[in-house]
Amino acid sequence: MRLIWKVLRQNLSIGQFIGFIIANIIGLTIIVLGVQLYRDIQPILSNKAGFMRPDFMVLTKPVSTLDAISGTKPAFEPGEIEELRQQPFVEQLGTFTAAQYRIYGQLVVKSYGIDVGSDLFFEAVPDDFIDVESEEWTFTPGDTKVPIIVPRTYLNLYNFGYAPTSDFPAISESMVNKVVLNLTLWGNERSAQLKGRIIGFSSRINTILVPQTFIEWSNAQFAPYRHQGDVSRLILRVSNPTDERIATYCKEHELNIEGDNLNASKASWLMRILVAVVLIIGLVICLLAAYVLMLSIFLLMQRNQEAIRNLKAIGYTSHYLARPYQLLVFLTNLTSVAFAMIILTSARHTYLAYLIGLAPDLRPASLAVAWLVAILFAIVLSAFSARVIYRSIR
Amino acid sequence: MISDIHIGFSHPMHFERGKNYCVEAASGIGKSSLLHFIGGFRSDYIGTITLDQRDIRDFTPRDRALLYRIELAYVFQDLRLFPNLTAFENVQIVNQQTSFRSEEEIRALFEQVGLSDKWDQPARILSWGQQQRVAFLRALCQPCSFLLMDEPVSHLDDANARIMADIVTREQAQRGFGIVVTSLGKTLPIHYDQHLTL
Repeated sequence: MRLIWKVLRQNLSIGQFIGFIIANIIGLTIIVLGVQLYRDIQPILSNKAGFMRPDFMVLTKPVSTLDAISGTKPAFEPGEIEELRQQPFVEQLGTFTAAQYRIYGQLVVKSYGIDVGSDLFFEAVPDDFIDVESEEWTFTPGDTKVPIIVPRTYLNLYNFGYAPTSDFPAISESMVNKVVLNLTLWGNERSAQLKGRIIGFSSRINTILVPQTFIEWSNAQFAPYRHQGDVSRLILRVSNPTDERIATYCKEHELNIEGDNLNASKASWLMRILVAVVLIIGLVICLLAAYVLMLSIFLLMQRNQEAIRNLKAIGYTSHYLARPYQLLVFLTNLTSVAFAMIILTSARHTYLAYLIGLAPDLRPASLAVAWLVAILFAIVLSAFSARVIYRSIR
Repeated sequence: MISDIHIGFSHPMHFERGKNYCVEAASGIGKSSLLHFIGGFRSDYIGTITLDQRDIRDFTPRDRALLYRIELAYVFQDLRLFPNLTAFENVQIVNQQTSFRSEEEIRALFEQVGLSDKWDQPARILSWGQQQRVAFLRALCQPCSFLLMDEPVSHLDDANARIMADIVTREQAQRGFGIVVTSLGKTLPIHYDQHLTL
């Protein structure tokens, strides 16, 4: 092979190869950086507590004056829910289930002199839609403790609205988690005393949430004869919150979108678009670099055409003669992978510091996928080049 | 082992292993083309060329590589040496495929043709006559059924032509290959079983 390489390396332009390696390193670095950045920010994009939790919308039907007078509640028909579920912009759809009995909650914190009570309401949505992660979020019939999630705005209302005017102390989220609510449920000519514990605060869902299993159990206990099927609110996860079809659909079907999560949603969507654009740019640069490499190899083979012909005339096969060029491409790609990963590791070190500052709980992803992408890219590119080289030598 | 080559042209020719043939013709008549046709390097002819009854046109690229490695040894008119390789490397690049000869044997051959001092000189700085001898040694460093030489002594003096003739006769006696030599006038001085004119 040494002699063959000595013949075939003639006319090899080192400048062209260095040019290719640099271009390939740039392209590959952009690709692996895009992949790694996406994986590192994925917990922020998808973490239930992430600041950019996107793409959730709560839909309600408007309450008309006639409804108000007649006492009818606006509710979604099963057909309407099914139609909405089939819409292309809907990724997942969940319904709110309301408690159909009366609830009284009392909060007593003697050390702070707090003793307040109020009628309450409970609702449940499927767990996938809840933006609080807690092991306590579970209820089995027979339990005496009920986990509760309240809107974060409630705590703010208390701390910045009610507490200052009532001389009550402001309370933190961790303090609230220690507080136990005395709950009294009654209906169906029976009642029960339960303990409620606020296990978290939701920024997404503007209601007092309890586990779905609790609502189902308690409705069966305290409101077995009431109509359970009424769905007054829906929660959707959509693929693209800026999709115009959502607004058009809601307008056509006279639906209201609760709250204004659209900014976070748009930011998240934009982030994904940016990552996709970065990946595409990286891919284009890499493909162009690969194209330049192939042109260089073709040029080299063209210049060495006579040597290749003479080597064939003394018994060398095309497979054997293609091997040095294939090895050259493979080693070139491998060098690019090594450099790209070194640059990625260094760049990541810098951006992770910013990301962790933004989301302290962030657990950065491993580099495994970036390695896999880079190596896979090198292998695919090398395999493709190997085939093209062999065909042109043959 | 290929035992015969048949040229099925309008003037048929037949070459047998173990015999020597001299193909003579004026310049431009097609001596080199004939040798290229036999090896399948060119196929722009009418008729058939068979190697042991198998048409050369039916040989796959892999078959041809094997053919050039162990059946047909060529000394091309344009020599086809690799200019950036040394004289020895030009021989070794053929020899390494089959390890047909040891380095000592190759050195001895270089000695016999008077090229021992050119052993590690790049082929590009050798004279045409020296390059002809390197190409000749290269052809002898592979197993073969036929040795095809295209005007192999065109740039050699009589003494060197005689040396080459002695080596090739000795080799043929040991290995039994057939020899096809083309000549424009000056011929490799060996015994020929048949002289053919194109």
